Amino acid sequence: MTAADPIDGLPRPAWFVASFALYVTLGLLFKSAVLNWIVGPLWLLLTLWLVPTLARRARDLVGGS
Amino acid sequence: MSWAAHEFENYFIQKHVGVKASFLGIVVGTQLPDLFTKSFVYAADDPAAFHRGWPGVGFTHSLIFGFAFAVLVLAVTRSRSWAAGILIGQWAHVLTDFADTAGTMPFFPFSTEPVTIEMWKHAAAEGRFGDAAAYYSSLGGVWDAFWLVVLLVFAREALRPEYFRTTVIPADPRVWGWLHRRLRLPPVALLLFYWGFFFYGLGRMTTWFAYARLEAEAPLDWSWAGPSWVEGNDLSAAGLVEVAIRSTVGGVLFFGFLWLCWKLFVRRLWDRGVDPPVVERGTGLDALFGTRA
Repeated sequence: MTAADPIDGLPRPAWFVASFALYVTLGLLFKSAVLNWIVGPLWLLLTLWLVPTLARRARDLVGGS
Repeated sequence: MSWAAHEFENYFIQKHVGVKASFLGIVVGTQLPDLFTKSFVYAADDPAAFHRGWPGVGFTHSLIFGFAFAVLVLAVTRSRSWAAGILIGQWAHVLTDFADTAGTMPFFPFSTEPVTIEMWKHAAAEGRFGDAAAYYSSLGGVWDAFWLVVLLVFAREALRPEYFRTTVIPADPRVWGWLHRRLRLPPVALLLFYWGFFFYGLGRMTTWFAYARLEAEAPLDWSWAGPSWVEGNDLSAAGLVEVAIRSTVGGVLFFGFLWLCWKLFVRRLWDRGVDPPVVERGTGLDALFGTRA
């Protein structure tokens, strides 16, 4: 990763809002599990990159089989 | 203690150090005082005294702790940008936390007198959830909101993707590059990770505020040193003049100690330290602050 590399594939703003709403909702329900220094800072990465990436791969696998 | 303010501070600091300090170093620095202690604080007999006092782990909220950790990182990694980030981040945490009633001991061990402006009550004695309810019912919550506004008004540029690409990564190319290569994170994932600390600050502020209102049903009390429904827990009975005298003496001794350390060995460590290619450091504060390369 260098300064010259472009940043492609940013989710649309609505996805950030949805991710935030989900975080707050789950945070109210499962405080200790969600509102901590590990899950909190990684939440965006998990919900807006990791989960969609895994979902796409799973879909490709199912579609390809 | 401050809650989301410590997350927002990261970006405000980043905007003012530019390429001269690692963002991840700043994050480690701002989290450092609570990193090894917070989980024990709520279980202590006297949480405020344990968290901020001496005897206790109050030394983690002193300037010398950040200095020692930064020097250690400089000695081991030779990274000036990480050492600078940790130092500035940890010092910001110490200076932010003196707003609650327990205060901090900035000049420990030269002065163990807590310094505080007593804006809101340190409420760890109420347990984690009670602490959150008290904090977000007092001026503590306003303090978080203040830092959010400061960030959005004076440092919002630090949240832009372009800033991340042109400043944050060049300030710490080794670690961001490692995350990119070893964990196979594409640029967009790195950016989401960078934004994650801002998101966490906003998320925990919103959630705990909602918890305080909806579940704990804690009454709002924005009076100075509130909320009134939490018992007071000042760590010192000293008056203003006594605190001022002790802190002044402690401060003079502390900065004298820093100067001595600089002359004896820190300067040597700094000189053999390395910088990312884009960084050009001046002397004095220009070595740490300034957005230009």
